[in-house]
Amino acid sequence: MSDTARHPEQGVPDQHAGGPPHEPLGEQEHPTHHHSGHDDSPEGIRKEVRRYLIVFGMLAILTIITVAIAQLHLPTWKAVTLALAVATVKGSLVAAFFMHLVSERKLIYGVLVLTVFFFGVLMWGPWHHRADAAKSWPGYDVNASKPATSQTASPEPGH
Amino acid sequence: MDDGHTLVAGHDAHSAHSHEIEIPFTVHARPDTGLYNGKLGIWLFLASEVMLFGALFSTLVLLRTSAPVWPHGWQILNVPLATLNTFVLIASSVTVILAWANLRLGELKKAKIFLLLTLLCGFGFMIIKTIEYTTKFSHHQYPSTNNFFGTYFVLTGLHGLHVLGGMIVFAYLLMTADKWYATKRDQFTNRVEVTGLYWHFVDLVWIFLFPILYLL
Repeated sequence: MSDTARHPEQGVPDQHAGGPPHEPLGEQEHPTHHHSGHDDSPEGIRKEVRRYLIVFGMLAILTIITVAIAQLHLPTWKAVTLALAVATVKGSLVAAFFMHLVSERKLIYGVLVLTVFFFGVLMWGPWHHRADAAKSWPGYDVNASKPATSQTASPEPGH
Repeated sequence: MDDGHTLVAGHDAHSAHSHEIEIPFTVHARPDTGLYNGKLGIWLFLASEVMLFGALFSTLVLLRTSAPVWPHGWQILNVPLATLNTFVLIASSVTVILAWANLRLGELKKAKIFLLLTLLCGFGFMIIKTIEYTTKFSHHQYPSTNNFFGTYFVLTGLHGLHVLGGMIVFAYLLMTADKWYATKRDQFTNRVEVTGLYWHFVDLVWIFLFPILYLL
């Protein structure tokens, strides 16, 4: 389980090698209670399970909504914004509840902040290119997938 | 003779030594991180995975916004099959977390059933993906056909490889569950948790791939 696994019928969890054996345990070293926000009592675990099933229901509904929005064939940027917004909500549900990010250790949040920053850098690249191309390339179609009417349009996508 | 004795003695000493030392922090949290090592390890791995998929998403955005013409995914790809795959993957995320919850409750049998269901969902996903791919190939649509299919096959192919990797780990966990549960129950429970974290990430990637490739 999160930072230790403990079972109702078990007593004290296994003592592992590696830690200072004779020193008093600090708060972080006490592995048995509420680590990463998990209540390890059977009632607590069953409550968690109910929450997971609710999240599953929400994800299923949001998937249907995503597909329904796509049927409307909205203008490209509206469609992109809505689709990404719904996907972000779905992704947040998975990350928050299935991946326990609602109550996780600070170190993991730190790793994720760095990751999000560098992911942002990756996504900034093409965005920067797009703005740049619109300025320097007359006739450049900034509306992504909107079929172009320019003379450069080719029958094969991406060519 | 002396050398031989030394070698044998050395070997024995090494065996005895390795028997005594266990890998630390597989169950308990490290005092400085507050996490058991496997959990920190999987999150660092997932961070690198974000960059891997991020680079490909970035490439897709670059190619798509640069192309004079780009088709809508729903015009070319099979949306009903992909929607079904979305449900399969979401369901598998729930089954893996239920396996973990049951291990914490001491219910090995139920946990194994949920692990098996997760594995079957993985199979289901791959079968549906294979149907999609073979249909495309039968229409002579390959990664080399154009940039749309290039990005479609690379992104879904890499994602499919991740599903396959997860399935291999789930099969291993299932096959060794009894042994691990009998000897190192807590460590096994944590192994299921970190594998689950990986699996949820694979689900999360699909949650974004599905609308971007199929619906826009």
